[in-house]
Order: sequence, then C-alpha cells, then structure tokens
Amino acid sequence: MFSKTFCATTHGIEGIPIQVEADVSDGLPCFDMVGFLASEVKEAKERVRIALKNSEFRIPPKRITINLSPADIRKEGTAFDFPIAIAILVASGYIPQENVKDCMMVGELSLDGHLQRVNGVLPIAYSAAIHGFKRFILPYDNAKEGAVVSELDVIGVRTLQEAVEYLLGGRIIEPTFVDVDTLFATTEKIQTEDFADLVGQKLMKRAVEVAVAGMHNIAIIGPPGAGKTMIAKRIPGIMPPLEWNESMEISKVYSIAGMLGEDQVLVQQRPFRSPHHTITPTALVGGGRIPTPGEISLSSGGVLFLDELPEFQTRTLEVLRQPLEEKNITITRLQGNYTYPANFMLVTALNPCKCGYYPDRNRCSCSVEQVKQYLGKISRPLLDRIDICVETSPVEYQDLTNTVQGESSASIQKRILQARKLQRERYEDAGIYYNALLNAKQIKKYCRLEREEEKVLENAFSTLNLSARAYHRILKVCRTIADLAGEERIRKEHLYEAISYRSLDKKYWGDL
Amino acid sequence: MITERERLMWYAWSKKEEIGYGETRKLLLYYGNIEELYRLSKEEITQIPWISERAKKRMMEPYEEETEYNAYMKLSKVGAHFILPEDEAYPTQLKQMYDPPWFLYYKGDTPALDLPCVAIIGARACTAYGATIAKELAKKLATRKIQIISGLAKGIDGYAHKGALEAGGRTYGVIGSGLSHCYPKENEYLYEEVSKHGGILSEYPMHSQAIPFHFPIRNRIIAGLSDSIVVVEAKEKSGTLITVDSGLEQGKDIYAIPGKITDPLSIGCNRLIQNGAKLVQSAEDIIEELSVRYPYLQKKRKKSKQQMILLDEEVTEEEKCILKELDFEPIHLEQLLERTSYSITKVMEILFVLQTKEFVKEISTNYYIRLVAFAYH
Repeated sequence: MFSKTFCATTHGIEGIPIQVEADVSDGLPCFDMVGFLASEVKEAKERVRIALKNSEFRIPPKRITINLSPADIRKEGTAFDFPIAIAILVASGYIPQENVKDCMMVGELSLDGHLQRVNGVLPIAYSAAIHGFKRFILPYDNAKEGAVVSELDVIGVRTLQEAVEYLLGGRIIEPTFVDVDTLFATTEKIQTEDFADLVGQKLMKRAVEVAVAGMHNIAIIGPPGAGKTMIAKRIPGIMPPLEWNESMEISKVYSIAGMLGEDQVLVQQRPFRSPHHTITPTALVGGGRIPTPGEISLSSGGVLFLDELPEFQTRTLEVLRQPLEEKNITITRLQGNYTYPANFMLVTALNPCKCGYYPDRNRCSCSVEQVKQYLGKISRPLLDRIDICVETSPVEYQDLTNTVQGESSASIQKRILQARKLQRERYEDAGIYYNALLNAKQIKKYCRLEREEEKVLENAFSTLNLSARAYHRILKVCRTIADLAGEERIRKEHLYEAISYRSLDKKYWGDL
Repeated sequence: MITERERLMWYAWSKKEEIGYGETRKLLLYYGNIEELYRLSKEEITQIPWISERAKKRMMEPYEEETEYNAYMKLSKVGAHFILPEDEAYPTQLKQMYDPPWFLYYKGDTPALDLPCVAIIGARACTAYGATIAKELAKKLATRKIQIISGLAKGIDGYAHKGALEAGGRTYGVIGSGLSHCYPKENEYLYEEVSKHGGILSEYPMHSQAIPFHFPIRNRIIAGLSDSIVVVEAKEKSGTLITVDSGLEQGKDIYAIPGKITDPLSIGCNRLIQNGAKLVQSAEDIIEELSVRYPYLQKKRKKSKQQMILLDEEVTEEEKCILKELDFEPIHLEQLLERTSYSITKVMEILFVLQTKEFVKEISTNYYIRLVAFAYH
C-alpha cells in the first residue's frame, strides 16, 4: 500500500516542504530509502524500525520503500524520522491516509519512541503556513517555537505512541498557544544594561548615539580597561525596539542554529554577538559542509562586536567586506546556494597600539612605526566601511567613584527613534532605511551642502589632509547628525562634528 | 690645480671604505700624494707597519683608470657630484677643520659661503614639544635666509628640515650613508625635497650602508658646516652631544632649547646651558649673534617679541579658552569638555577652526596638542 506524509527541510532561512512517500508491498522483507539523503537521514532507517517496535507497532515483514521528494534536494538532519515512521504506519494500514493530510510533521525519534527536539522549526512552520498546511505536529520541546506562527495548529507530542493516538482521534491534544503580543510588550522591560551606568564619556555616548541613529559602523579606540566593551554591550539597548518582521527573521536564523529554546521562543531583543578573536572565517560568516549561519547572521538586526580588532586573522576580517555592503551573505556549496541575513551594525574596539596606551607617552613605549604597524594590520577596505571612530577618554579615579547617573538609554533611544523616522520618510522611494546605506549617487542627492558648508569642508580637506574616501563618510555622518537635530539642512556645526568622528586613518597616526 | 687623473684616483680611493681617515692621512704624509699611493707595490704595502690588514688588502687592488672613469661619469646621471677640497663647490668652512673630509659626495648644492648656516639637531625620539620648536625655529631662521643644516634623521632633524622647507628656505642634510641610500626609509620624501631645495652631503661612496659608526663621524661635518649649533632635545647621553663636542673643538657657538627638569629629553639641553651654551627663547637670540658676522641680519624686520612663537592672528575668546587647556601633551576631547563649559559640538567647532589655523593638531583620534606657544594672562 502506498502512503505519503509531509515534512520539511531548511534551505538558508527558508523552509522547503518535503513529501515522504512510503510503499509497503509484497516481496522479500527489506527497508529501502531513496531521495538524495545525507548519511544521518539514511540512518533514520534503524531509528524508525526500532522506535516503531518499541512503541508496540508490528511492522509487517514486507518490502518497504521510502522516497523523499523532490529527489533533487539534498536532505539533511534528523527531522525526517518522525514523518517516515508515520508514513510507514499509514502504508501499513494503522492510520487512514486522510488523517494525515494537511499535516506537517518533523521530529527525531529515539529508540524508545520519544520525539527529540530538532533545529529550524520556525522557518518550517512559516513555510508550512504559506503552503497551506493546517496542522504541524512536532516534538513537544519545539512546540512553543512553532506556535509563534499563529496560522497553524501546532501540536506538540512527546512520543510516537501519543502522535498515533492523536492522529487516530483517540486523544485530544490542544494546539500550543503563544501570546506573541504580550511577549513583545514585555520585552522592553528586560533591559539590564543601561547607559546611565556610564559616567562622563560624553563624547563617546554622543558618537554612539550618532552611529546608531544612522546605523553607521563604529570603531572605539582606547587603552585596556577604558570601558570599550561596556559601551558596546549597551548599544543594542538604544537601538529601536525590534519590529515583528525583524524579530521573525532573526528568530528564523536562531531557530536554524538551534539557539531557540523552551524559555526563548522568539528573539525579542536585538542580538549582541561578541566572537573571540580566534574565530575562523567560516564561523564568522557561516558555512561548513552543511551550511549553518555564522556570527554575522546571528547578529543580524543587532550588533556584531569585534573586540581587539587587529588581533583577528586578516583573512577572517576580509570576509566581512561583502556582507557589510550587501547586508546578507550567500554561501555557495556543492549542494546549492544558501542566503542568510547579515544586517548588523559593526562595532569594533581596538587598542591604539600594542601596549595600549598611545598617545600617553608616560606609559606607552611604542615607537611611531610600531603604532602604525599595529593599525596597519587592518586592511584599508575594511576601515573604509567604518564611518565613525572615537577614542575613549582616560578614566580617572573620580569617574570610578562618582555616583552621578548619566543619561539613560531610554532617553537616548527616543532621539534615535526620531532620527530614524526622518530617515525612513526621506528614503521611502530610495529603497533604503538609514543613512549608512547611502551610495555615492544618493549622497549627492540627499546630503547637499550649502555654499558656506561646502567651504568648510573644502578647508578641512586641505588642512586636515583628508582622503577622498573620507569625503563620503563625513557626508553620511553629517546627514545623521542633522537628522538627530531634526534639521533637513546640513549646517556647519554638523559638519564640524562629523569631521571629528572621521574614521581612523594610518596617516593621522603618530606623525606630529 | 688638481688633475683629472688625480681626481679619478681619489674617486677610486673614496670607495675603499676600509681605509680609515687617519690611515689616509699618515699615508699621504709619508708618501706625498695620491699618485704615489697607487704606485706602491704589493711588497711595499705589506711592509707598512701602521695600517690595518683590511686596509692593505684594499690598497692592493689593481687600479684601472677606464673602469673608474666610466663609474665616475655615471655619477652625474643620478645627479650626484664628487668633489675634493681643491674644488670650488667644496665648502670652505670645512677646510678650517682639523680633519676635513678628503672628498665629498653631494646632490643638489653645497651651502652658500656668504650666508650663515645654523645646525638644528636633537633626539630621534622627540616629543611634540621638541618637534614643534625645531620646526618653528627652522622656519623663522630660514625666512631670514639662514641655511639650516641637519642630519636627515628621524625626530628633531627631520622637523628642522621640514620647517626650513615650509619657509621656502635652503636646507642641507649630511647623511651617514651613501647618497643612493635613504635612511630612515620614512624620510624618503624629505630626502627628495632637501636635495631640491638645498643639498645632501655625504662622505661615503654611493652605495655605502648606514652603519652606526658612520653617524658620529658625519656629525663633525654638520658641526663644520655650521656657524652655530642649536640643540633642541637631547637625553643625558646622546649622539647629538658628539656634534656639540666637535662643534666646540671647532669653535662654534652652541645654543640649547631649555626644557622641564623632569623631562629626560631635556636633561642634555639643560646640562649644556649649565655648561655655558646660550639659552634660546626665540629665533632672535640666534640671529642677534649671527648678525655680528652677517650684517644683513642686523636689519630687524619687525619688533622682536619676547615669546618665541606668539599668535600673530587674533584669536577669539572661545579659542583662547580652549588653547589655554591644551598643551604639548596630548589631551582628550572629553577632558576639554570637563574643563570648559562648552557643549560637545561647540568644542568640536573650535577645535576644527584651530586645526585649520594650524594652532592645534589631532595626533591620534580625539587627542589634541597645541602647536604654538601661547601666552595667557
């Protein structure tokens, strides 16, 4: 007898429905599986057979053939165990075929018939809803994750036995329900790290505010212990709250990476990822034989913080160049192309020199060449993608003992929201969301300078020895500063400020 | 007059670096002239007791006039010249030395006779203070047509040359390597500029490397070329002091820029002042002394001022307020915010304007130094 059930596999951050076909017919007893299977899928054979046996289902000694179609997509992962088992049961006559129609199933089977959690449930649930499925049966541990998609009845089951009873109508399992709205409403209160903890550092706070307002990448320079990491950690807290679509997109990535759990069914806060500098290029951008999202995708919508930038391997940093421009990453492997989002804000921290104290000559013993060499490790093209650069001020004892609170994250965020709103309105037709994304042509259109301001910039070029590349960066940052001030026209004071944030350049370094 | 034949012989001799200055002197005293030295047979050379084995080896090398002639002619292709004391281009000042160089290689020009020469020298690892003073001093002196001599090294030397070039003056570098080597590498641009607006001199053959012991020897030439020597920054034990010693032997005027007594880079200078070097507060202090020998300097252009560098242009109250807080030690923008009552944007604006006026420089992100001396009341 022939039967079919449905499950899905992930490709990038999208789910693709897969049809599981089972045929049980006369002939020598055997169990065959076809359909471009990875080895862990081939192993499903044993798990399914024994799980069925231990769940007290007798498999007839017949010729069983399983086909996973479409047969040209490579199937990976363990989510197929459960639908295969059900397909066999349907083909063997335990469950009527019509009971499994419109029903998406995923789950890994353990030998005793329990369903284990799998990764990538969220994108699968999404595509199930799009493809018109009504029910989604999945391991109990994954139920909440799947329930975020409210168009589906999400049924979490613990064992194979339970699932069969449910499908036969003998057991009623309430669809899992997650109240997404209240989930979102409570998010804002979870903030633990606040800019109010930061005393002084006015310049730093201001620079960060500008950076976030325009989603400019930022480099924070400072000696060890000056609070660079402390600042970086607080950046997600002043970004605009996550919107539903953004949260979904980020959650999908986390779902595929297996980083969503019982207690966190959705990513509700902007991510903050801080990989160690020994990270490999693959771990950073994603990849592997079976492509998985890397740190840049996990930080999408939030902050990717690279501490000790010059310590990263050059090759690791170079792979960032393309995603920084395109805001997504496409990984090409033998099996196909996988696209993951990479819409992150890059925050980097670095010491000004090897010993970390330049330009404090009392403590720093590096020669000018050494200082230049330290910075020289970072490639020009990467530096060109960092719009803002600030240096932390020396921390004095009074600062540490000071109990005065700084401005809170909430009030900074308010200004940022205002600036973002202006940007969204302005770029409605341009297809971008914030100033950092402006290209050369758009800069000409949106960052027009009046004659007086033009003169200031011209003057800056000749006296400060700016590079042509710095020109566009300064204009973009200017635009953001004007937006923060709520002004359409870029004024002189905006220009002055943007110039003092100009990005790090080797030639400014060290030469007196 | 020197014959072309002798000139070629000296040229060939100049390439035998292993033969020391003193050895050449003794050889000449004993054998009379350069031609005689080439006539010596191998046996005769081996029997000379007072020269080193390495020098003997070089002396035994056969002399081929044609090869030397070809090599000599090639010098002009790279803009280099080879001169002997008998030549007009040879700086006359050097002839008064106890040990004038037997020959000189140079690019560009040699210092003009009728104009004063001042050497500005100092530490390689200098501070912002030293760098600014060296540059400004060179600028001021160069505008009065004074030729600036230095060693084209890192630090003070480099800034002295830069200052002179900025003022459009003439400046000369005496280097410790062959002319075809630029040491240190980062001064390559400066090397080109100095050879265009002045000249580069060396006692070493074209491809000679910059070997440490060359530098103290070339220092005597710096001293020899100059009327006065100004030391800007020097540690207690510094190569700069070798130049000073050799200057003292030659009877040159020594000047020193004072510094804080706590600053290790000023110990050398302060010690010099203690021992009788003239303390310099402004370029006028040097010009005044020089004007005795060079009357054209007596004509004062403007009323001389007490401070070495004072702001000529008017600065606004706001700018003054910021300048007051700045120093030669780098100061962070955040510190400026704390010490003044201005907003971030205002401070940034003032700093920008001061930078365009070149009163202030951002030496590293958000760290600023003051480039000018500033008298506030």
